[in-house]
Amino acid sequence: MNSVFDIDNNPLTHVAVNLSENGVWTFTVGVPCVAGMFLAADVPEDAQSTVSARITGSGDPFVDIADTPISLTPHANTITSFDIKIVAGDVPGLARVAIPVRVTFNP
Amino acid sequence: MSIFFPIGDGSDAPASATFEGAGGLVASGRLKRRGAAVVAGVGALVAIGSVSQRARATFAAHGALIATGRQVGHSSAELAGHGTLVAFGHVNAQGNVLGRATFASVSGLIAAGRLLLSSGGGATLTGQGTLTAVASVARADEFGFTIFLDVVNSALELRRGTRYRARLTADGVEVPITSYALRAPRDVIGTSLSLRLARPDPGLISRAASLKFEIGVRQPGADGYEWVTFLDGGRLAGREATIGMAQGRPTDTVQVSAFDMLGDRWTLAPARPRTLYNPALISAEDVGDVPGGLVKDDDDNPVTSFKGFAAPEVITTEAGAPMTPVRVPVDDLSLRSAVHAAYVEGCGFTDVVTNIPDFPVARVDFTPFGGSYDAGIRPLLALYEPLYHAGDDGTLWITDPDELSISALSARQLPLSAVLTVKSTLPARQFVDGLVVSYQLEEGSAEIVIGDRFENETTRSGESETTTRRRIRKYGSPAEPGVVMREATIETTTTVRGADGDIIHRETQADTFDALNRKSGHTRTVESRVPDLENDGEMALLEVIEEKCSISYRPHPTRPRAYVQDSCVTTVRGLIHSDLDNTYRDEPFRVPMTDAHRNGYVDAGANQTSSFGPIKTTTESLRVREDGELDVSVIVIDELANPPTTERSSSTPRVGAIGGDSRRNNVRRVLLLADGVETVTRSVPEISGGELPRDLVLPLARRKLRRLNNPPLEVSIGLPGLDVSIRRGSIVEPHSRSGASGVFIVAAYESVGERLGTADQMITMGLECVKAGGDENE
Repeated sequence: MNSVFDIDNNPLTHVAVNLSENGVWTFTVGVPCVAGMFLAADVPEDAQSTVSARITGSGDPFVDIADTPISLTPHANTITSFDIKIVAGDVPGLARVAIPVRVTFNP
Repeated sequence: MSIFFPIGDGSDAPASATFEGAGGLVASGRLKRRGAAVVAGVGALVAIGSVSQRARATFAAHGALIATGRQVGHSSAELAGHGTLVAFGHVNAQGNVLGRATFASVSGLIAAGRLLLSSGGGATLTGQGTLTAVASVARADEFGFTIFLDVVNSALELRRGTRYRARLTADGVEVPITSYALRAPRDVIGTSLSLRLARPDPGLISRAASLKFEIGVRQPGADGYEWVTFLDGGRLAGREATIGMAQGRPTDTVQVSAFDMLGDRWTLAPARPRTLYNPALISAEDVGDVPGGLVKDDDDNPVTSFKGFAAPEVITTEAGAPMTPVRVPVDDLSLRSAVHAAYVEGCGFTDVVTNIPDFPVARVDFTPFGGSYDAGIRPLLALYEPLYHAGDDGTLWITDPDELSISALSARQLPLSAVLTVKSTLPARQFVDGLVVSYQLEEGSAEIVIGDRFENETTRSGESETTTRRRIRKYGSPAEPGVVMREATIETTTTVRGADGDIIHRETQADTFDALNRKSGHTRTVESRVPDLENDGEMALLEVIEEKCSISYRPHPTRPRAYVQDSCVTTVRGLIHSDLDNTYRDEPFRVPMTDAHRNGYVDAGANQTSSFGPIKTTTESLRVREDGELDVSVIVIDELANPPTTERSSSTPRVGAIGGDSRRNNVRRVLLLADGVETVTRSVPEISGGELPRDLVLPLARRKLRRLNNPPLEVSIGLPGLDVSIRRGSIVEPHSRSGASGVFIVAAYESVGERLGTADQMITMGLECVKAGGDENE
């Protein structure tokens, strides 16, 4: 079964992030790319946070993968390194949300 | 007899080969290009063949058949047999290629087929009796990870000079307090709260009042407080009122504790016992009576009294209506769907988020009698030792702390300047050489036949010599095909030779088994030396008996998951002696040939014949009367009588432990050794993997073993104030005198506030944390 990997090549299932409002956190993952699949995120509407991604070292702007999933077809049959950036929104108090990041045929 | 025969070595010429045999046959053939092979036999047959390009292979056998076939291109394979059939086939090993595989058998069939994405392919699996088929479409599964995000407004961060206020309201009206103790324990969702009222009036808070507890945070320079709710919708759980005097002044106090409705969700349960089960893994009959549920009689009617049963108590309403359990079939029941049923549908959470992998589940039981929704799920998750915490949107997070990615996470830094105390504890370790873990094999589908072995035994008695030859089948797991998991005797042949060395008696019994490895029947043939009326009465070794037995099972009526033998029908056919000169009711008098020979009736010169036909039918039925006692009724029909008549009919009680566990036969126990240990020298603990499949159980068991020898580091942190952003599940990185000391997960916390509202007000917070990420401890 496929899995996303962290930089230590461990299968990645759970990323815990603590941020202040408007805080930013970036980390790198390895994604096994399959033709027809997309890198997408399901950010709850009230999370007031964004999850974006770009290919590591590309210099490209980060793409909000909740709005615009990234096609993995151009990188099919490779494990491609992506930078994932989380930007916390302006929350009134405390916010605790779970955001799935999926590699999927159906973004 | 073993034959290895390649057919069609690559030329275009058609080729054919026919293998026929009685008894065991092992054949290996390869067909190429319009070839054909027919393999047929009675008894055990092991056939391995590959068919390619418009070729055809037919495997047919009575008794056990093991066939492995691979189809490529426009080809076909038919595997048909009576008895247990184990077939492994691939259809369309390449995409966009037509192919077809047909598996047909009577009684047990295990077939594993894999269909790839291609047009026009197909697989047909048909059979009578037990059929377990595993098929999958090779399309990549969705995968990914979950970000557990905690965000805190800067107005709530703990800084030097941060001020606090604690506020309790009952039905919206503030009730002043002088102290509080808020505890968020490990392994539960809710919190416990105890408070001392500023005004010692027990009547200030009624039992029905809705309680809300908040902490206000005010940063230096801010105008007002930002309020964070720690308890909402609570109820008065307890109250202690004390009247006292000291130095002539009253010291009355009222201490109250509040009941957290969120935490109460752990005790929610269905209105009546409820079992979810996967119909692909177990049948409704195997589900039987749910724990704590209703007792039923043999006709499946609810029993509302104890008459005849000394079994689990019948629970009824006060009006006498039985609390009928509910059994719900759920296709593809898995951990995720079971967790959803329990915590979302049952306990009212909006969703459940977990990083624990999904796996098939055969059944999950929820009962209000001594159980709950949570209690029904916990056994499925126990080995993971997960953490439970709630999200702000009503979600429940169940996380395996060992799966936390250290490289990707963002932790709250807690330098020494930000804390009061840091206590690091290495829990007492056990020295354990190994661990035995038991787990359930997937019913009927996880075994493969490794091969057969034979045992021979010869004994002499007087002038005769008896040789017994047993064929013992070896079974293993697809994950470890070289390891014998169990053995079963499937065929026994007993041969008796006389003083002259000639065979005077030979019988062969071949047993069959169902998907739960229970004996489902047997076929027994007996050859004996009797006069051959077809050959002038010469003595010959002829088949005189053919016996077929069929056994059925039913759920034990009073013990969940147990079964009892329901009926056993044995039909005997054999060689029959007919005396045409001696009639009864105008028909020749008939007796079994063996009886006729033994009693001297056979006369080759008389008007006598022999034929093969029905001799006797025996039907045994078993009924459970009380737990551990059966009534066994036996009816024997003499088929040779004219007309057929009852030879014997009886009903006899049997005592003792009766019944088997439908899942016990599929339990495996594995000994895992600690790193560096070659042999066990100390007592070995044992754990159960429950429903978890083998590929999840063994890594978890190894993790458990490592933790017994090297428990995770624990850290207790004292904070000078209340950091409202730190909750159970928060990730922190405390510091030691030499710097950051690792990443930890907050498993529990406690906050105490004293002398509230005075200049001497003190509010503190303590964290209990466990090492995250499964790192080795130092």
